Amino acid sequence: MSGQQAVLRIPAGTSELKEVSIQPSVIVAGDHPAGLLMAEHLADLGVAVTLMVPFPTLEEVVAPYRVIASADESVAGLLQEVAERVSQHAGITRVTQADLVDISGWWGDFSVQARIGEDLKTFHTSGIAMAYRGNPVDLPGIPVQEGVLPFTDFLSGINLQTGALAGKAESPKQVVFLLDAGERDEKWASVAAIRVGVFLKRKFGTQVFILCRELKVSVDEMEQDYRAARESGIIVFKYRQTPRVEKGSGGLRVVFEDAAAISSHGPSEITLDALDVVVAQERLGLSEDRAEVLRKLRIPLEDGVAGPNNPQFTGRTPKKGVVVAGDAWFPEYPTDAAMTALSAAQELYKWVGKGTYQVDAYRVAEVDPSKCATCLTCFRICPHDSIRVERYGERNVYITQGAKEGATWEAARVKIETCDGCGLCASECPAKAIQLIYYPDMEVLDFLAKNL
Amino acid sequence: MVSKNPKIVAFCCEESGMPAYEHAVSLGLDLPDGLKVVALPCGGKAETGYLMKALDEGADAVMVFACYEGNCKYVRGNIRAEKRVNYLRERLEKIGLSPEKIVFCPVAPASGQRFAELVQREVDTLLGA
Amino acid sequence: MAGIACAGELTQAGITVTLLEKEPVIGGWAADYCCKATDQCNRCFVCVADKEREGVRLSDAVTLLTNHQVREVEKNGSGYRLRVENKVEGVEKEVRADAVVLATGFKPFDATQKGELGYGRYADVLTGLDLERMLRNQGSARKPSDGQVPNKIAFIQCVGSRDESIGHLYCSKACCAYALRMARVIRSQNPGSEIFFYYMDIQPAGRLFDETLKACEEDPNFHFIRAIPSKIYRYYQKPGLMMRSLEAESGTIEEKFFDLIVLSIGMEPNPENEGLWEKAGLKPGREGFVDPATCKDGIFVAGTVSGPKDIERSIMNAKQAALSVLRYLEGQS
Repeated sequence: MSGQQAVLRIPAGTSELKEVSIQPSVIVAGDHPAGLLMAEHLADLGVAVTLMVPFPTLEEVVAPYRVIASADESVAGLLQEVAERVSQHAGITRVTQADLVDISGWWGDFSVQARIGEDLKTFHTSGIAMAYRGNPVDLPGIPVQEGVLPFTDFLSGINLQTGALAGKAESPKQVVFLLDAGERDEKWASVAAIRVGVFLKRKFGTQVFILCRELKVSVDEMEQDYRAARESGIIVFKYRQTPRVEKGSGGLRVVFEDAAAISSHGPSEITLDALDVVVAQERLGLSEDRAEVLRKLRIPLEDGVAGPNNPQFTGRTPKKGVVVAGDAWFPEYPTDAAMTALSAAQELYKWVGKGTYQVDAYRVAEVDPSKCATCLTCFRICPHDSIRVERYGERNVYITQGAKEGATWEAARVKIETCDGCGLCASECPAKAIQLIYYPDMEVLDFLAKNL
Repeated sequence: MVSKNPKIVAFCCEESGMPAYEHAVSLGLDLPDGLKVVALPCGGKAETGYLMKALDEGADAVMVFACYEGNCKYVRGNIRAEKRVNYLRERLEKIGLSPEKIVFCPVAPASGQRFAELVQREVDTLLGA
Repeated sequence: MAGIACAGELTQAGITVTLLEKEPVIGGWAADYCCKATDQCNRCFVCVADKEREGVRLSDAVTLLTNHQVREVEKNGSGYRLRVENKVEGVEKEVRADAVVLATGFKPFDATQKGELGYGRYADVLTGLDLERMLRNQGSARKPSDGQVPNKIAFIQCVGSRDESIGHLYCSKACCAYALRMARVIRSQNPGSEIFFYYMDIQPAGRLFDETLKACEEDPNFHFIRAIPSKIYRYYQKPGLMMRSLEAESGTIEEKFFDLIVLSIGMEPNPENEGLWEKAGLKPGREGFVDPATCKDGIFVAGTVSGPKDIERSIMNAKQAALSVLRYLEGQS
């Protein structure tokens, strides 16, 4: 029969609420324009924002996206004036030429170290947003040679007035956008190629070819823009295997098998010759320094992007008070990246916006210091990085039974503000030193003894 | 000897196993009376001591209902639970007991069907053995 | 569902929320979707939607008005006045608010419009939504005609999307992902089954999709065919359904039998948005969905009302909307 079973539920219990005050302050760090949007939104909501960018000016954060903004009104609407607005915002403290190098502490009490020029400086904040741009890691399947450019280098190197690439006097005559050669499933480059392609064609008369594995149209109005691209003379091919890029007559040559041609005479090979430049979609990744900062917070990095690959963490990380945006979250087209970043900003606002929070000191785990053997098992297991082994000097001295008064003792300690009471530490502790306050082992064992 | 109405302890993760059990109840699906349900904050809280205690107290089988891999609210709690279950199964086999006495079952919150099915499968395994 | 997610976010910030729902239950289309886990989570986000819904249903801070249809939205001073009708009792009442979030969602494409695909005529032609419901409520895929487990299954993508003949020159963004995930569920439940996936282009679905796609590509019983089938029909008295398509790979017209055919239907703008919201100053964009750029003065959009989105992006969009609402209210005070 259904519903007749003996059930032991997690005790609802009286909660022991503790008021904690969290200063409404955040540090937004990084070189992705999503960071500017987050900073602006949070500052408008009364959060004290410190914005750290690695450049001398905020304009340089937006600069590589200017060409996309010229080609796409919705991106222009997002980014056109954001640098100006943020640089004049009274609620934002701007720190330029700054790179975040280390984070320690917890939600409400982070200590952030930043390198500013040659100096190291420490900041204190309640929450942190990291909005990073990706760095080109490699061009999968395409040998490095003259004339082959990673997509992001192309975007940041092009002169909007002349169409010329960095180091060149005039705009290229023929450009190939070579997309999808990598394995990762990203669409930012496909969208940018179509929209920027139309811009180049119309403004500078550049002949644009787009080579892709799949035509990615799952972005608002993309199908219409794809049509506009074809009508303006941009030629799109779908290839099967990664095209060969080699030296040709008067430039580069790209050879590939056309996947869309319907023919019963076997595959048809296409050669594009005399190309000035081949723009290849690269694999983007976080720089080692930035990955290291995240690793220290025990925010998992999977496939070069931050945060667990887990639906329970939509737009946030397991570390309370820290969010990740921009290419660090996933390389996305600017309009998509803005949505992701602002949803992360909302998460952050929930954590730092209110000022005071009620923390339940009952629905958490607790370490019995007299049993703790400081084996660090709990420290390694805690998904929220809420347990530390601490040696306290004068204050908060842990005293074991029988130990002399005043003796300092090393033991694990749970930070109740960030503990979710999942019990993972309690179930793995070899010394059985940890119990869930609200749901001690005895409850389960008694239930089993009574009902079996 | 397993009785006709075997005693099964289901340790259920509050995020998936518990809602799945409640979904099964709300659908009016058949669940054995010998089923005892223990809610846990995370599948990973199903510690070795609980599982062994249940068998020690006379349960015919222990089931751990947790989230699917890659969907744990606590990142890796379900993986820990699964590893623990696999380890205990090995141990049971070594001392000559059926490893089927302890099983790990990933479920989704709204899958009462699957919950009832898995319990029934376990009952069949026990009675068939 | 985006409305629920947005309401959940706002209540956590201390805002009082009234949720207006025209159906008897809250949850939108997402409440009908199935978990698409195989032996591991395939990141379909349905459980996240389920949890959001339960959270709001049990929350004291949200006033739930189910069976209530919005009849009129009117600017009233700094806030809004909504005329809503209780559809069960037939009485009207007034709801006042400082800000309004429009999350009226989408309408699933009506597959009977594509007559050549035989939906509504053959029992074993299902839409993606039908299969979602079947998997959610029955736990496994069965042929509606005889209740048997199907072995040879075709998925047809872009039914009602990327199709100018019906005026839908847009991609519905969620179908590749949901179809591939459901196909994986069928494969894992019935190892003897074979999937034929007819598509134009596979659309990526964010950072959590790659693994599912790779698993499908590596599966020997999973066939990707770049083609749009032109006809589904019965072949004399033979069992199963015959499907005709021109396949790019071989360049020939192929005809194959299938036990079950799933049409991956796309999303359409919800027709209820027309007229009602224009008074509030909202205008449709180039694809017929509400243009988010026309939102102003305390009106916001969340979820698929402003264009097709999958669950993940609907939730993110809802959180973004919540942030915008809070920012607006902060500016007002």
